[in-house]
Amino acid sequence: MEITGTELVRAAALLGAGIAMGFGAIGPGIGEGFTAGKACEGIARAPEHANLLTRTMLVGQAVSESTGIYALVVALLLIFVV
Amino acid sequence: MINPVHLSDAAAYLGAGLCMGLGALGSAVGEGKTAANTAESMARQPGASEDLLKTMLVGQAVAESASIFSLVVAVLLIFGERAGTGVEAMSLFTAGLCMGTGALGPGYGSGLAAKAATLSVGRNPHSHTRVQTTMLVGQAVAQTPAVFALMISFLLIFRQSPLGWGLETLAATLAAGVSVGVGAIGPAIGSGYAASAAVEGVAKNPTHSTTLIRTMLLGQAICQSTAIYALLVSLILLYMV
Repeated sequence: MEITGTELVRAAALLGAGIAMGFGAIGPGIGEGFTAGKACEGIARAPEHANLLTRTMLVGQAVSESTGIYALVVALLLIFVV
Repeated sequence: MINPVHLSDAAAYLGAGLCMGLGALGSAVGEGKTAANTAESMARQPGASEDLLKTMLVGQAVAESASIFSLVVAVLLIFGERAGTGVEAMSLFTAGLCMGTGALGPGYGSGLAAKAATLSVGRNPHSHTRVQTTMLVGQAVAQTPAVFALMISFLLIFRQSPLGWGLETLAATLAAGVSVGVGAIGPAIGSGYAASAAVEGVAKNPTHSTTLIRTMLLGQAICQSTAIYALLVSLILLYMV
């Protein structure tokens, strides 16, 4: 079977999309879970500040999520644009 | 020239090995930690040994479910029918890889929650009902990435293989499995960590268990978002490319 250059590029792009999203999901997942855990610890210690802690948790997680969204964007670019 | 059915067989067996090997890892470590903490807690609170044993077994059962998914996929791969057409070999190998890596995180994450629960029951035996409830809710969320991986594995195993095979379809198939399988590791470990902190918090401060469970679920939902992106990318790779 003859493999053309275009096919090779397309195959590499698709494989790259899977790798980008798969590995890109590890970091945000662990990081956001750690944040949620620390927020729970804080609420157990100081329940009166639950709102403040939840707000801070959400802001921190949003920043942490950004790399996950970059991975998604790169994966979609590799699938549909390249 | 290799017979295509033999190629499919080889790929399926390799996938089954990876699936069960990797899939057993996370659950085993998590459950071992749970058992270790139970022993520690029992030494500290021999009176609560009944509750501790119950908490340990319930927690371990949930942590085990990820590796049971792996076992099911491995058995299906070993005893399945092979037609030897199209990208079947790659689909079967990827199904194993996907479920194997996909079970790593959920097994370990659920184990973390169970470990925290046994520690908490040892510290505060009166709160065992609330601790168990919180643990189960948290573990259920930590298991969802394993269910995503199981879903993609089944789709790959029972897929109607396209007749022709090109490099593009091969790459898309492998990428779909890698995306959802590897993508399940992080969200599950993160959710498990959140669950373990919530469980410890409930034991420390049982009156605020509702607030704690709410915060835990909110945090876990955000954790899971990347697993859902991975599932989305995987479905796009399987059906839209």
